[in-house]
Amino acid sequence: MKREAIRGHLDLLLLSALDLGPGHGYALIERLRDRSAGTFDFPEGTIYPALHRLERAGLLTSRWSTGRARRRRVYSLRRKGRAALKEQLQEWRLFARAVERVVGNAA
Amino acid sequence: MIEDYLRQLRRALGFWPKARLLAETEDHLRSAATDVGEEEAIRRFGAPAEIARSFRARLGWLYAGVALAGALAFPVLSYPIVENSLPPAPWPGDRPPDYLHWQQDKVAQLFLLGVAAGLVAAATWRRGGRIRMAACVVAALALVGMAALGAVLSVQWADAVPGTPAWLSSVWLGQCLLAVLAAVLTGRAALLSRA
Repeated sequence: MKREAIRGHLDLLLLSALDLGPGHGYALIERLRDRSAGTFDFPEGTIYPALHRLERAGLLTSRWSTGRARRRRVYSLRRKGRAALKEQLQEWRLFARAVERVVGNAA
Repeated sequence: MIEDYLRQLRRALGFWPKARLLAETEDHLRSAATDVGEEEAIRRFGAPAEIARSFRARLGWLYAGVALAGALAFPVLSYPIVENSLPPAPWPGDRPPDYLHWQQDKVAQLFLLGVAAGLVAAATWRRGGRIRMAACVVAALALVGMAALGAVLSVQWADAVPGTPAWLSSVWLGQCLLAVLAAVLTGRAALLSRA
């Protein structure tokens, strides 16, 4: 799937991935890959600007996990993030239904 | 290979505060490397320049914001100096001739437009997006217009009021430079955001 198509929906994808539970960057990439059956293919490092932006917007919180050989930042969804996820899901489903109605009979 | 990648990313980020991102990147790459090997992990992560680009866009807006704030504050801070350095005007009353008066009005209106747009930019700063970008662009354009018109006004005022100190024109020169700097940095930030 083209990167440009994913870029506009990355926030929704990350919020959905975190809805399953807290996770660090690589774990979130694994969740997205598994749940999409490998459809999403974009530079994995690009999720970090998105995660930082969502955290600044108050949708996520993060902390350094302890007890490891190297530092790991773990993200989790805040209540405001769950509300944003719900809103974006509704918008996405409306959009997807509309697109399907338009292109449904196309060759 | 991962160490080399981190060095490249550090360089690509430039002045951006990078400790957290580098720590997260190292953790990501080392975790991925246990599954697919270092080379594939780095390939999947993406080129350092691509990762650094979005952080540079945010830094660009920070620079633009500081420049806009400076260009908006300068006329306020310099006004007492100008007001107290001007000699008495030769015309009766407080109202200058029409050709100077309308320029004063326009300079004031452009300044107020810049302040209003600056407040919108400040209110939407954390959220970012198109509203913030539009507000910064409007503020920058208003400041450039104000500085340009103010420079013309200062020259004509000096001609109309004998004894006006020549150094006062440097105040508007300073305003012009700050306004142009703010406009350039705003434009650069907008371009980086769209890249």
